Amino acid sequence: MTPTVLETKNADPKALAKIRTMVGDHEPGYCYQCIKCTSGCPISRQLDGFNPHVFVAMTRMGFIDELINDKTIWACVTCLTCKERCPQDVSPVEVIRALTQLAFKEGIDPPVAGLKVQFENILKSGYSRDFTWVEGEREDIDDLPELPKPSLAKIKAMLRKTNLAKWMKEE
Amino acid sequence: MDEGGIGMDLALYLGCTVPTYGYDYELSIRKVLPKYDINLVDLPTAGCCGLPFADIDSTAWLVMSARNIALAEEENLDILSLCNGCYLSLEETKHFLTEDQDLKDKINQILAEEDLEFKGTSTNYLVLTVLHDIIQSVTKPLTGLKIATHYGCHSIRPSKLPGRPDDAETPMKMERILEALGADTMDYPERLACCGTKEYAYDPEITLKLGYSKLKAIKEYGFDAMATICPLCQYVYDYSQGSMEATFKTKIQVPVLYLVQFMGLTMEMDPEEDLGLEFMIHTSPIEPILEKLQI
Repeated sequence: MTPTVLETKNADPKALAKIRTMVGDHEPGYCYQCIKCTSGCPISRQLDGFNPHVFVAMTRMGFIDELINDKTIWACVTCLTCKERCPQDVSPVEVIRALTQLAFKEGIDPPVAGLKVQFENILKSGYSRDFTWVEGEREDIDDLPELPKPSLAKIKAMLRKTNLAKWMKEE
Repeated sequence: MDEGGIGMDLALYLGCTVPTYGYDYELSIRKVLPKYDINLVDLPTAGCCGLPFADIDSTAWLVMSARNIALAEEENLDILSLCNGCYLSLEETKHFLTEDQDLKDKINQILAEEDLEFKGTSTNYLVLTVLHDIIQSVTKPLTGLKIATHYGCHSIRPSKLPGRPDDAETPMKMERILEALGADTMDYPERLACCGTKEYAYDPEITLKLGYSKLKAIKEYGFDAMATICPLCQYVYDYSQGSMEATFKTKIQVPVLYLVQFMGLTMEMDPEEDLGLEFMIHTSPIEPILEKLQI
């Protein structure tokens, strides 16, 4: 995210309350900006604007709308180093995950390639990956049994009861 | 492990990456573990662990994950996970659902569509724990091989979850296993660095940069090879090595094998027939290792 001026009058306590219900015991308000998270973050070193301590600071002040509209929150690699090292148990990775979940709930399409493809693969096979390219070689290996085959109708019925239902066609 | 790994039945949980990019890993596990009297049982309707959805919807993630646990529990089996991602997904699901009765009820209501129930009575083992606890004598040691270990983030973090396979900042099980196999190991500054596999979805160049920086370091330190335990990490260090060479216009050529494949070599298993080292999904060189071991 490029540096912008955030005006406190634009902060949204209601959106912060939503995030609070999603992070369990990882209260963003406990963050004292020691920056251990960003210091150990492998993505922060590679991607301008990916700074977990800034995401947490903005969250605790209520700038949720700014965050969920920032593509950068989707760049977390979930190495969990910040969760491990946070002295306040704020766990920036959980805050970031709550932000992406809220973004999805509010109708923002995840700007990461492949997530929807993985979902469609699951509807087709029960697995998130596409098997067609390895089927030839795999099938020829005598010592590998046939893959498990989940019931696709059951999986669809279950996913229809989650927020992913909006990605499913009406039937 | 409770019973020292001997004479156990375990449900083999594959997830999505093992059968597509890591069936050499699957084959090796199916060959090596029975030699230690571990009976692997397939779950006929298992599927994805749900982890891809953790960033967008917790309910979808937990349902997909819990249904695999429920399938194993229906058969009264403990679970063996081959992938760090699946392993932590199942472990966190079990933890969250066990700690929160309302959440457990909510997920079980959805699982009722398939007549399944998550109880939380099963144990979920990571392959690292099992290999560490079963290893016995070695007929053909890895003498003269200096191997760099790569644990992968989800096998060790977060330490606060109960029953983690190893220490979060100083894991040692891979080193102990490789030393028992007769190889040399050594700590190195990048040892716990993340492979970056998930970044493929956001910006593949970052994954390649992270992967290359670790492989380059391993080369400079004089290691002969790298050992991994997770198919997502292996996808970066082994399968993507060619892309790194093309992107950074350099030769890397570091042999990257799963830990269990090194174990299979010490049991005089066939590199191709038993360990799948020549499948199309294994792309890093193996000849330097086989030459050194005179196989």
